[in-house]
Amino acid sequence: MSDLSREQYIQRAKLLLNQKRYKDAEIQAGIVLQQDPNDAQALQIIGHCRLDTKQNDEALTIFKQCLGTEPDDDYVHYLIAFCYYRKQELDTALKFLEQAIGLFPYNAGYFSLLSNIYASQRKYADALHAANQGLAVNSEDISCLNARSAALFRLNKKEEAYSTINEALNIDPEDDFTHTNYGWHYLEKGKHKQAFEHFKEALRINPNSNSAKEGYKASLKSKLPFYRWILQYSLWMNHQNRTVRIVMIFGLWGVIRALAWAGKGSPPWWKYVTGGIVFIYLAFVILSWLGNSLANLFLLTSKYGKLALTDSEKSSAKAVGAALLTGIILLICGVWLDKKFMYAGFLVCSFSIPLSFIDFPVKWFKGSGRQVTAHIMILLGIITSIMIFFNDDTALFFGILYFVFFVGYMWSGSISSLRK
Amino acid sequence: MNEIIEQLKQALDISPENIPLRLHLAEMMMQQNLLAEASDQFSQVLKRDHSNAKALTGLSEIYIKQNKFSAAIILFEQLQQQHALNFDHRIKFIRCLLKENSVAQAKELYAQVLKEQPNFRDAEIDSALRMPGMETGMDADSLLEELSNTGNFFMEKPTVKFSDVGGMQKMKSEISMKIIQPLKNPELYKAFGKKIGGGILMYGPPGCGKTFLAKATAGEIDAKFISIGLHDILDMWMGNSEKNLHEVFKVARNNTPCVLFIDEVDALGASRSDMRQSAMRQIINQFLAELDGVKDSNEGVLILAATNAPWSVDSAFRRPGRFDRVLFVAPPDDESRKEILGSILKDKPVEKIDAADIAKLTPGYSGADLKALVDIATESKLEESFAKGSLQPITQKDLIKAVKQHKATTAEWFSTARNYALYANETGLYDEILQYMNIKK
Ligand SMILES: Nc1ncnc2c1ncn2[C@@H]1O[C@H](COP(=O)(O)OP(=O)(O)OP(=O)(O)O)[C@@H](O)[C@H]1O
Ligand SMILES: [Mg+2]
Repeated sequence: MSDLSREQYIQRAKLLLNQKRYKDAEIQAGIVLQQDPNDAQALQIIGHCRLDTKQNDEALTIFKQCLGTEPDDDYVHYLIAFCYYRKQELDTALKFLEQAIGLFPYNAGYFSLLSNIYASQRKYADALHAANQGLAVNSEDISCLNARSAALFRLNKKEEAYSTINEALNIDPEDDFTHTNYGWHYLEKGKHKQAFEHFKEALRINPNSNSAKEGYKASLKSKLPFYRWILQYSLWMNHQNRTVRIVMIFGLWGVIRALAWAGKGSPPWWKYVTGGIVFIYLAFVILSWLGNSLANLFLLTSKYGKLALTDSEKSSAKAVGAALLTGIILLICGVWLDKKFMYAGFLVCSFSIPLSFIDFPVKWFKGSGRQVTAHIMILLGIITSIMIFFNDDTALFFGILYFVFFVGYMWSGSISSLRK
Repeated sequence: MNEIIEQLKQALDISPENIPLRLHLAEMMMQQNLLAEASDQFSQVLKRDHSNAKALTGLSEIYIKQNKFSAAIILFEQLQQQHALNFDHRIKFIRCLLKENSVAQAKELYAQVLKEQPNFRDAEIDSALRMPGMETGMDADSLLEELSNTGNFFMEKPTVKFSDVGGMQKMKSEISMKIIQPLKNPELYKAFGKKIGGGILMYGPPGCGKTFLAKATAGEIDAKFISIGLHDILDMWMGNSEKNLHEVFKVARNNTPCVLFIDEVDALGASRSDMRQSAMRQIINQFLAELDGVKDSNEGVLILAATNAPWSVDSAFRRPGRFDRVLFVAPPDDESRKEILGSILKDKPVEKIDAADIAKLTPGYSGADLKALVDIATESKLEESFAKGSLQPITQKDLIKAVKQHKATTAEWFSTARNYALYANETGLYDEILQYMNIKK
């Protein structure tokens, strides 16, 4: 550190951080750290860079180091809270955020984070209150306005929600986050055309926004009615508390079982009714697994959709499509040739479900437990469908294994989704 | 003396891991001019401790004495990376660079030295870096003076020409049509009623030759080259900036013909949130005024700018008469990569290198990436050389291994740029990106 003073390096680093030149900012702050490894300002800047580049754990370590030298810095407390929020460790996040607000209660940004944390905990009334507190500090804070509208939507106060979000757009029509927010609300209401316009606008303002891009794709796919319903259902489920979700998953299944059971010994028309209900239920369940891949397959046929999909989404959709197509061909063969083809056809069709859960490009038998399980299922399924043509006993054995895995996989998936 | 050396050697036989002792021995050997033996001892130290500054320095001095300048440069570069270069080393480093004709690097280092010790003078270096044929405007002394005071901009006389730039045919002809020809044949342009003036904005992934091409433009027409970079711009944001900006243009106007190159130009207007503050806005306005040549004419000043983030460039910069030509600088193609590799490997010890083959293995690699490949290979060879005690040349195998270690850095840029080209391309500004990426809209 020869020609410039510490102050100048810090200033440079801050400007670079503002300009989102993270690597350059880290270099400048790093020069200061070489002189004093505990320089809190330099550490904060580097931590900020890491946070903005989604390196949450590294950021967290650095911010905690800052706290060592400056234990009364409210902003560092806030940044730590933000890291924990990103990691979805909400209680710890709350603890740090409360300290930040205790130290300095005049930063609206702190309250918008508070509101977002409460919303993640599904405490919507608290979320609304926090957003209002933030707006009392700064009535034009965009993130508080967005948090407020989100909370209002959940509390079913639609009028107020729309007027809040419009207020945010009036203050800053070039805020991609507000447009994205608007888009998701529309999607949940099933208004995919309006949603599309907002996502398009959000992407124009910030083409690298992931959330906007996800919404953009979802709104394109929502042209398909079945996808729209499933999306609305899953968005709605996301905001429900655990009891509602347990009732939705197990309760519905229970009702279907009960209906089937009650149907024994009733008049024949009743069978059609229950049969119809079971069929609708099954279609719904299968679509909730396959819907996204099928809709992606549909996107592949549209010009804009194809460009928006990632390579892995494309491969996944193609794999699912290929499994279904092969399965159907086998089924048709089965009608004319031999029943064996029909069994194999069913099996191959069913591959589409684990395939839709597998990450592409596939790294066979590597990755998380659920990934590997899905890989094993595919393997078992393939062995079974080959064995059908050679040895019935072996086929039966592997088929049962496949079936056990299948049912276990699906139920464990539903249950673990409850915990989220 | 020799007796002491013998004793030290014996002591080392007993405790070969004693680094201070070994360094002491090596230094003694150097005093006795036992260069080969001293070099051996330093290598032994480096084998145990790769970054030992004393050993690196000692070894570099031996190399200088043996006239192995390129080897010494490699060691100095390592010291530089470790921030272990003191004033003395820097001067030696500069001399080595001059011996190897790396004038640009030498200049950069010399500018730093002068910043630290404004009164330092070295006849040999001064005469080598003094620019020939600089009658107009500043002479080299006052330029260096200027540098030692502000360090804000640097003027040089590039020796690279368009022919040194691999590929980029389209860019060259655009630059030629837009700014070189008007400079050479002003009457012709006036006769056709074509307006002269305005600059070219180049954009593209990092390390693909934007800065290099700007330099070559100056070399092509035998003009001076003045550049301001990211840090100069930042310092403008921070301090009494407008004056500096004006001074840069003034120096340029006093030194026509010259190329004024503004690197990372997006930094001038990138922090949107701060733009409301008038001080920031003022710098942009000042820049635009200078660009427009409101007060003083920019005749004879070719203005080029470069950026990695064209989407952050203030749109006012692109109005007619300013940077009204925006050009995409793509990563080098096969042929260019071969040429670039050739030029990077020119001064390095190599053995049986097939540059065309490496070029085929490296689609999407930028010039800077190719340089990184050679650096990786050099480093591994350096370690091997220490271990074996003799200079090991770089081979095809080393480069292929480096290709596996270092992936193209342009991919990251394209994944961002693709989104801009798809979703924020109302004016067709990024059509060239879509074309390059083979995306049809
Ligand atoms: N077409 C080319 N011909 C010869 N050398 C090249 C070419 N392109 C790049 N290089 C080499 O790559 C190095 C890096 O290029 P340069 O610094 O000009 O890239 P840049 O586009 O300005 O990058 P940045 O955006 O990071 O500033 C140059 O020093 C040069 O040696
Ligand atoms: Mg450059």
